[in-house]
This record gives sequence, C-alpha cells and structure tokens, in this order.
Amino acid sequence: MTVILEFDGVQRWFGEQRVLRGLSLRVEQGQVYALLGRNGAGKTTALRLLLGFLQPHRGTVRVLGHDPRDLGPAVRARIGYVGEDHRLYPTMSVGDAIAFEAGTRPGFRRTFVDRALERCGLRPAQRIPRLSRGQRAQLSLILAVASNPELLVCDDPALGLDVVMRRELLDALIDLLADTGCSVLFSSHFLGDVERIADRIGILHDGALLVDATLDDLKQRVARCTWVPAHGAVPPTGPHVLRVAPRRGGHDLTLLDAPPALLDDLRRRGELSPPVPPSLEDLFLDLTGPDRPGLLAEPIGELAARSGAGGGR
Amino acid sequence: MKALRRKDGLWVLGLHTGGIVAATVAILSAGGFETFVVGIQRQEPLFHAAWSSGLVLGAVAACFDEVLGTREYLRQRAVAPRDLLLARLQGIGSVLLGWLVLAPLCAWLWFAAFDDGWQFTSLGSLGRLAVGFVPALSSAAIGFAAASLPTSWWRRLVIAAAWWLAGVPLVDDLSRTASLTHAVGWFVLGHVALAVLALAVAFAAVGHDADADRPWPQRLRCWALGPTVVGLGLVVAALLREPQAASLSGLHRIYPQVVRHGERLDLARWEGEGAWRVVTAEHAATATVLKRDDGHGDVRGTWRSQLQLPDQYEIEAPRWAQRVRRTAWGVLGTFYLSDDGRAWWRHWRTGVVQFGKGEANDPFEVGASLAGLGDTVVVHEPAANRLWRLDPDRRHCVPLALPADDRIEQLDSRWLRQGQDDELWTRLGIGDVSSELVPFVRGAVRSYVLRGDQLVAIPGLGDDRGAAPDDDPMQRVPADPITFSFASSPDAAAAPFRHEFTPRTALERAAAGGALTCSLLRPPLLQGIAHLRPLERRPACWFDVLVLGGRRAWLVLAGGAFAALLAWRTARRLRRLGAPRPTIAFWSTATVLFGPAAAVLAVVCERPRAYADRALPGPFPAPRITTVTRIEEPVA
Repeated sequence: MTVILEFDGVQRWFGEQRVLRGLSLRVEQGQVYALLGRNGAGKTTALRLLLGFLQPHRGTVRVLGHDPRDLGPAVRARIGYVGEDHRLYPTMSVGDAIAFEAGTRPGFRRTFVDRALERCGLRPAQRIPRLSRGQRAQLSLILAVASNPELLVCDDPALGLDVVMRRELLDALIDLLADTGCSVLFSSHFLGDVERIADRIGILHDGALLVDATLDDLKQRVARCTWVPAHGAVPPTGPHVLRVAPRRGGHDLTLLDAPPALLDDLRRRGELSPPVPPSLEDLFLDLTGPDRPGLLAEPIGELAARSGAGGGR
Repeated sequence: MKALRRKDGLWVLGLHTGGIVAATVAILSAGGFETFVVGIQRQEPLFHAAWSSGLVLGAVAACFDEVLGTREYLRQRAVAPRDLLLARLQGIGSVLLGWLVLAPLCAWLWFAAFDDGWQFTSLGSLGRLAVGFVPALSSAAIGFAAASLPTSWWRRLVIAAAWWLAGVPLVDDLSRTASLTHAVGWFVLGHVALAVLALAVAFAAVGHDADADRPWPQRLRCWALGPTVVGLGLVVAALLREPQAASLSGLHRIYPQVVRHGERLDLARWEGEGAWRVVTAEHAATATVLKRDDGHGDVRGTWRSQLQLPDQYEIEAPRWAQRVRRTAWGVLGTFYLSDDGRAWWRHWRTGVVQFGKGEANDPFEVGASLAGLGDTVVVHEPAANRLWRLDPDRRHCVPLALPADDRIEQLDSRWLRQGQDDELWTRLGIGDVSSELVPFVRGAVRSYVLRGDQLVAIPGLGDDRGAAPDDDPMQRVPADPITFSFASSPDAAAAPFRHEFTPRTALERAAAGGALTCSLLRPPLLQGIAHLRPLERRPACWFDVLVLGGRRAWLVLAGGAFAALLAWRTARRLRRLGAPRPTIAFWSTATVLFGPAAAVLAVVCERPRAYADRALPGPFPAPRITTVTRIEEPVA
C-alpha cells in the first residue's frame, strides 16, 4: 500500500498545554481512517497540522508526499476539506458557493454537484444562512468532493446534527466516495457512524494514540466477558487485561489477545461468560472513560520488535 | 481571481457606498462653491473622512474572512496566498477608485442641483480633491498590512497605531514648507511611500499563520517590526513633548521674573495681590516686597513670552499654499477672490456673478487681496499698486484714485474701542457701540478709509502696530529653556542688570529634572539628529528642545547609555528565552537606536511562550492496540 499522509512523532503544545505527544500514524491509499477521541484529545489539532494551518513543535507531517507548510495550490487541489462547523460564506447563495468552489479548484465536476444537490434537495437559489446545519454539512461535503480529491479531510462533519441528518450525511459520504479511491481522514464522536464507514480507527487520548488498528483486527483481538470470582479470588492483571470494571457480584473484563491459559485460569478461579467482541463504543469507553485503569503505553521499541517478528496483524 | 473578487463583493460594495457617502458629506461640508469654484486652503473634513475611511477599508479587507470564520476554508482553496492578497488589493483599489471618482461627482451633482454657481466650476478643483483623498491610500495600506499580520488583535492594533500615528504626521512634517503650508508633491509622495512600505509588509506576511507558540520568521520581524519600532519611537518622542513642556512651563513659573520698579531691575517672584517678593541671585526669598501701589511703577515679567518649545503633536489636514479671500459685506452679499485673480459676487437675489476689472471684467493680478470697505468691496493689486472698487450697479470694478505721494501696502483692519480711541472714534463718526472693527487701507505714509469713491486719510488710524520684540529692551529670547541669561541693554535702566537663569532651588531642580528625564526616555537616534540640527523657530514635535542646536551633548550621551543598558537587558532576556542570534541582534540594535520604546516592544512581541522548548524525549508512547501493515512507498 502507498502512504497518503503520515504523522511521525509529532508534538504540539498550546502554551503549557501539551496537545499532541509524539503522534504517529499513516493513512494508506483508499483507506478511510477515523480519528476518535474525547473533546480536547487533539483531533482537530492533528487535522490542522495536516493542512498546514499549524506547525508542529517536533516531528514531521507529510501529506501527499509534501510538507504541509509548503502546500502549493496544485497539492491543495488534491485535498478536500470539510471543517468542523461547515464554514461557508454567509454572504452567498448555494449557487454562489458552487461557483466560488468551481473558480478556486481545478477539475470541479459540475454535473456531479448538480446530481448531488438534487439528491440532497438543495437548490442553487437558497441562501447559505438560511440552510439548516445538516444542509450546510451536506453542501460542504459535496463541494469538498466535487473536485475529485485524492484525500478528503473531515473534521467532525456530523457534529451538531440530529440522528436522521447524520445518517443522511453518512450515506451521502458513502455515495460520494463510491469507487473513487479517495482516502479519507475524519474525526468523529459518533462511533456507530465510524463502524459503518471506517477501515481503520485511531483512538487519540491525551495527545497520543491508544489504538491504531483496523476494525476487523479489533474485533478479533479484543474480547469482553463477565467474570464472577470464587470466594477470595482477585481480578486478573497483566498485559492482556485492558480493563477490569467492577459490577454487582463480579467484574467486566476487557481482554486483549487473551491467551487460552488466561481464560482457563479465570474459569478455574470463578465463573466466566463466553468472551465476545465489544462494540466500538464499549471499547472507546474502556480505553478513554473516566475510570480507565492506567492503560500503559507500549514502548515503541517493543512494537518494532513485535512487527519485525511478524506478530502484526 | 474572479471567484475571489466575487467573495469580497460584500465589503467592496459596502465600503464603496459608505465611503462615498462620508466623502461626499465631507466635501460639501466645506461648501460646494468654495470647493468646486474658488478653491479651499484646507479641507479638514475631507482629510479626516479620507484617513478614517481608509483605515476601515484596509482593516476590513484584511479581516473579512477572519471575522466570517472562513479563513481556513479559504486557505484550503487551490489558490496561492499571494493571489489571495492580490485579490484583496484589487478590491481595495476598486473602492479607492470609486471614492476618488464618485464622491466628487456626487458632491458636484448636489452642488449643481442646489447651488447657482455651478457654471463656474473649475477643473482644477478636481485635482485638489484628488490630493485630498491621498491619505485614504496610505491609511488603507496601513490598515490592511497591520490587520494581515499573523498575531493577536491587540498587537495588530498597536502596530497599526504606531505606523499611522508616526507616518501621517511625519509626512505632514516633511511636506511642510517654510511658510507653514504644504507642498503638494511631497505630500502625495510621502503618502504613496507610506502605502508602498505598508504593502511590502503585507507581502512579507503572506502565507504566515498566527501561532503564539512560535516566534515570527526573521524576515517578517524585520519588515513588520522594524517600521513599528521606528513609528513607536516617533510617537513616544512626540508624546514626551507634553510632560516635558509641562515641566519646563513649571520651571518657568518657579523661576523669578525680572521686574522693573522705578529705575531698577530686580529678580522677584509674584506673590499675588499686586505684590512681588524680591529674591537673591541664588533665587532665595528676601524680606523686600514690591507693590504697585507703593509707587514702583511698571512691574512686569520680561522673558516668558519668548520661550521656545517644540510644535504640538497634532493630526491635521494639510494647508495648501493657495489662499482664498472671502468676505461677506453687509447687504451686498458675499465676495470671493481666488488665487488666480478671478472674483465672484454671490447675492441671494441675483445669484452668483463673476466680476473683474473694468467693463471687460478682466481678472485681477495674482496675489491680489479683497476686503469690504465703506459701502462696497475693494480689491488691492500690490504689484501694480492699484485699488479697485466694485460698482454694485454696473457689476464690475472701477479704479480708485490714489494719493500721488503714497503707496498702498495692504487692506487692513483695526478694533477701535470707545474710551481708548476717542479721537479716531470722533473722526470716523462711529455710532453708539462699545467697539468696532474698522477696515482701512494702509499706505506707506498714511492710512485711509473709503468715503463714496474717495480715499480719505485718517491720521493715527494705522498707528496700532506694536513694537517689534527686538525693539523692546526688556525682551530677550532665551536661548535654552532651562539655562539662559538675561541682560538689560544699557539704556533700559539706570543700573545695568544681568542674571544667569539656572535651577538653583530644590523646586527648580525638580522641575528641570522632570524635563531632563523626558529627554532620557526619547529615542537616542532622534536625540542625535536633534543635536546636529540647527536651532529652529518651530522645531518638529519629535525633536527635543533641550538638545537642539548642539546643546547638552552629555544628555544625548546619557540617553544613549541608558538605551545601551536597556539593549543589554533585552539581549539577556532573549538569550534566556532561547531566541536565535538574528532576533537578539535585531532587538539590541532597535533598542540602542530607539531606547525604551523598542525595549518595551521587544517584551510585548517576544513572549516566552513562543520560545519555550517543551520537547519530550523519545521513545514516544506507541498505541497499545495496533495493526501493522507493510508500506511500499509514499505518494508524491
């Protein structure tokens, strides 16, 4: 696979606040990468660094093989961007916004836009300030995709939309991206949506990635189960236990790459329900929730050793 | 470009309209006839409308996307940042052009619709109006450049203020002629140069985003903060003039006066209620009190009126060399005489008519003057030594017979007061009023009033000219505002008197110390220039009157030493922050040249946050759960 964008050891502060601490991730061609995280985790900062609106204090960012600080018009033309609040000129109508987009982006597909507008029920004469939040989000998305970008960057495009509008936006995104080969990096808080369209997810917490894996991999490697310990048995610890959450009469366990020996030991010391893959939302809560039990980061050297030994999945 | 222009359409249209309305009102407020026909020496309303509208235009053009929140959306367009800048400049240019063309047109249409003198419109007035708009160009460029800088709002405001508050008065000062009018060419050139400099800064800022956690690139620092240091230095120097002048005025109030009582001159301080207390040569009070009632005669101060202080710091409209004579004369109406000798008579019933010499209504000579006299108006041609009297019935001027043994100097006037000028009061037959302004013709030998069509000499009418300062033995111009000497001329008093004024008491030293402290805070570069300049009658507000004309080299050096100390501290602070060598060199040089103003600006602009090195040592935390894929090659 070829790399479309890459963060390598990126660090960034705002004053005394450390927002990104050594963020490293890659998005491959045609991949839909969802960047998840709680508010203030550093998602928007990462996207702004990617587009050259900010500069990192340490580390490097590459997008389409270029340093974002030197993105010329030709490279920017290959990147579509949907901002967090779908900013469009409030002085314009939908038609004006389309004309503006067409005038500032080569390869703008007018027929594509006309079809997409019709599908979303938007008319060129409508004024931007009179559009609902959802309509504005749809229009932003249509405009961002209209010039057939190689990379689409969306900063929480569904923020503030109700369930129906969110679903429509998502459908629109899936439609628009169908068979285009476009890579997507988007941040979101809506994990159900992410599960529908993302190939790979990154969970960003406190400026560092806790998870950078494909959804399939996550489902295979992470399991949840309920364990009711026998009298006097203590909950398990170790590298395979992501979380132990107390519940009435027992514990909810989240296990990573749980070896059969661990499961046998748990069965021996108590009653264990069958392990099942957790939903993304459950996993997100397990990893980033307020009662998260000190999820230790793996030293990068060990990761490299594991990858080199063919342990990657 | 077309798309960018369309997106800027709202502010372009709004500022077009607003600026045209403001400029039209400003033009008309000075009078349509005066503006379009006669010409105005000073277009104060247009000047203020032009610069304020220009600043707003520049700031709005630069901040439009920032205010709408579309800045990043726009940055992500496939458009080079330089093209974005050029599109905005095109918008500014079109608005300025609109103001320049449409505002005078609207004003003229209003004038033509509601004034009956429109047929005398002079094309030259358009040129004058165009020059009046020039401050809009420089102000727009300053507003645009400052608002384009990648920094916080309040810093942009400070930078714009420093540029504008120094640049505009500096152009005003440089274009001022010896006769205190302004040279059009230098005025225009100065404002264009300001605009070019500001636009160069705007181009230097292209592509930079505001980031409080990173220092500015050195190139941008030099382009943007270099002029800011200079501007702030000039503004500080100008503003220090006020406390310094207050200290000097205080010192002069504390200094004893030289008072005359009888045949003697003595040093004394005013005690109130007509009493002066005599002081010693060391300014210490004595027991002797002089009172006017005691027969000490003319007791008065002698030297205060000749104090030399710099010009006040003001933002004023330029004053063109052109002088327009305008006089309203009783029921006859209003008369105008332009610089080129054309004259008009405006009356509410007959409207506006042009008049001149003889039946042919020839224009008067350049430099002629006009005044109401007797029952009509007269025009004086100084070069030809002729006086013309307007014949209201024939609507042209007829020559007045002049006395053969006299030469007319000027048309003059004088206030006469009943009780003081009784003899003249009787001769002129003035009615029952307490005072009256009497216009008259001043000749080299006699002064005249107009009776019918005859000049009648009135003895004593032109005798009100005061003696020149140099003629008064009591007047001595202090060469320096703190230390100066006073010496009476031999025939002024029986006993010759000489005194060296210098701070001698604690109060005097405190007042002088205040003035000297103000000098220390001024930019050393300006102090050095002032020290090398000759003494002037009205020095510009940037220059320190205490060091002008080679005075007090020690004060210049002390100011330089103080600035060097500040520069050392500034450099030490920047080194501590981790600033690179060029940054330290820039601020050190700026502080040595511009003193405390630059040092303060360095503290304001170079924040510790921008230089903080908070790098975390590796290895960085890796994801706990990861899927490793094999990467082939990056996309180029």
